[in-house]
Amino acid sequence: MNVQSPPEKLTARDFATDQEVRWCPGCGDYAILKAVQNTLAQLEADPKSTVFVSGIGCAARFPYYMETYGFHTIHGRSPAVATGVKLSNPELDIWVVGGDGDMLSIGGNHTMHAIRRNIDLQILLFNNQIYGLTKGQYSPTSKIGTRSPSTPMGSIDNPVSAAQFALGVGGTFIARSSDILQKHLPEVLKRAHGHRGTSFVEIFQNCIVYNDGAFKHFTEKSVQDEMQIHVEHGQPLLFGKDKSKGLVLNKDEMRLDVVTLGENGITEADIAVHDETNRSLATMLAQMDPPTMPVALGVLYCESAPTYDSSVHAQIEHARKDGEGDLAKLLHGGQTWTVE
Amino acid sequence: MPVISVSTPSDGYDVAIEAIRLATKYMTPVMVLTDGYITNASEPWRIPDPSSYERFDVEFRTDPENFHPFLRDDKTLARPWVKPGTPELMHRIGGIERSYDTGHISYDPDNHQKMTDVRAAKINGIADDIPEQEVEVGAPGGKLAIVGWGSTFGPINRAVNNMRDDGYDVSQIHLRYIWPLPRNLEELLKSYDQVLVAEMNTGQLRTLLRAEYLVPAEGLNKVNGKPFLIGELEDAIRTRLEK
Repeated sequence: MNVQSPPEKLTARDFATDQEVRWCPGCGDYAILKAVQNTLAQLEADPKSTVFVSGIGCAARFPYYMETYGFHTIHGRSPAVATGVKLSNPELDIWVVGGDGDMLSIGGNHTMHAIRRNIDLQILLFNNQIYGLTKGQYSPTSKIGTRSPSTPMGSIDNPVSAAQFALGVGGTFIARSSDILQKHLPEVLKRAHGHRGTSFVEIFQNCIVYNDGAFKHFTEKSVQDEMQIHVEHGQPLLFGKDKSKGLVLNKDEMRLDVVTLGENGITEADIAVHDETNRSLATMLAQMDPPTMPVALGVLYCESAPTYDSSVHAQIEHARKDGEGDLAKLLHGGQTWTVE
Repeated sequence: MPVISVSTPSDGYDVAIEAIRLATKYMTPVMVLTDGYITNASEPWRIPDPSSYERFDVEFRTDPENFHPFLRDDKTLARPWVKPGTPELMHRIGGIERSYDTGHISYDPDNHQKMTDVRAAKINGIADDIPEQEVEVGAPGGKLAIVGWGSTFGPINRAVNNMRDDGYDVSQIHLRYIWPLPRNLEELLKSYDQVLVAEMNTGQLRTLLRAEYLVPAEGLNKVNGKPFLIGELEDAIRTRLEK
C-alpha cells in the first residue's frame, strides 16, 4: 500500500487532464472549463471525491478534461446517472454538465425530476441556443426565427427559458452567468457548490461556429452595463453605468419596471432589494429580456430544503434500526402459503 | 449485448439474478425479455432459500499499483470495477472510442477495429459461461424440434407432451439465452430433420438461427396479441410429421 501524504494545495492546472481539449477554436466552453478548474482549486476540492457527469453534446466532453472521476453518459440521461452515483455515495461532490439540447430537449424530463427531487448536485447548463455537435440545428432555447439547417425559413416555436423552467419545477438554487464573465462565473459556481440540493446554473455560452453572437446584445462591452444586472441577496437591484438605473416592483401590474435614479423623484430607497428566497421575485427576474429589460445574472433564487439523497439515507438508517435486512424473511413476508 | 428471456413467471426470479451476474461479471448491459402474458400469468412457486444461490460478489479495485482503467481481465475481457471516491484511481469513462493501450480518446481506424472486435469477443465469450442447451421434452435427434423462447413455454410444452403421448417424434427446445446462443445449439438443431421456431413475432429468432447456423428452420408466427393455443401448435406438429 502507498502511504498517503497530506495533499499539497492543488492549482487549477492539477484539475486538467492530459487529454487534448477538442472544442472549436474560440468556443465559450474553454472559458467555462477554465472557470470550473479555477473554482475547484479555490474550493480545495478533493479530486478523488469529485465526479463530473455529462450526457451528449459539445459540452458533454467536459469530464474528459477534468482530473477527477468522470462519466460521459447517454444523451439527456446524465441527471439519472448522477442521481445513482450520489445515492451510492453521498460523500461525493457531483457536477452535471450538459447543453441546452441535452438537458432541456432530449433530457428535459430527467432534468426536471433531478431538480424537483432536490438531489445534491451542481447542474451546469451550457446554453448556446443551438445544436453545435450535430452542426447547427435549432435547439429548444433558440429564439423564434433562428435560421438553421433544420429550420431554413426560421424556427417558429417558442423557446424555453432554462431559469424559468428550473424555478417552475421547484428548484432550490437557480443562478445564471456567462462564459465571458471570468470573475462572476467562479463566484456563482462557488455558491452553487455550497448549496445543499440541486444547484442549477445556466451559463450563457457562445457557439462561435453555429450561433456566433447569440448573446452579444447583452454581453458586448458596449452594452453590458445597460443590459446586465448582477443580482446579490440583500442588495438593491441597480444596474447601468454608474449604477444609475434600477428595478422597482410595480405592485399594480405585478412586474418589475426599469427606472432611472433621479428621474421622476426616484431615489435608491424606491429600488427593489434582491431577496433570493423569494420565488416570485426570482421568476420576475428570470423573465427579463433585452432590450426593454436587462438580463439578470447571479443567484436568482436560493432556499434551504431537504435533499433527496439525505432523505433516502435517513430512511435507510431508520429501517436499519429494526436490524439488518433478511432477504429470506422479506420473500416470505407477503401473502405466501405452502401447497402440501 | 447479452439477451436473455423469461419463460414462466417463476423463471423470472432466476433470470433476473442471472442478468445481474452477467452484467457485473462482464461489465455489460444485459437485455431481459419478458412480455405482458408472463406479467399477468401466475403459477405456484416455492420461494427459494437465498443462501442456496452461489454468490457472485463484485470485486472493487483499490490498489493504485499498475492501475489502468482500461485493463481487461484475461478471461472475461471485462475491466476493473472502481468506485468513485477511491484514492488515486480517478479516471473518466465514456462512449468515445479509446486507444486499446492507453485509454486515451483515439480516432485511429485500426484501433477502432480492434476495440470493436474485442468488445464483440467479450460478449461472445459469455457462451462459455452459460449452460449448454438442453432438450426440454424429448431427446436430442429426431424428426422435429419445436424451438421457442419466452412466454410460449407453456402452450408449446403442453402441445409437445400431448403429441408425444400420441406417438409423434417431436421434441421441445426452449431457449433462455438468446445472445450469445448456447455453444452446443448448432449441433443440437442439426440433429433434427425439421426445426420449427414458434414465436409471437414475425420470426426474429428463426431469422437469427438461420443466419447463424444455416439451418432450414421454419417459423410459426402469430402477432394478434393472444398466446398460442395448444391446438394451433398440435396442428402445426401434425402437419409436419404426417406429410
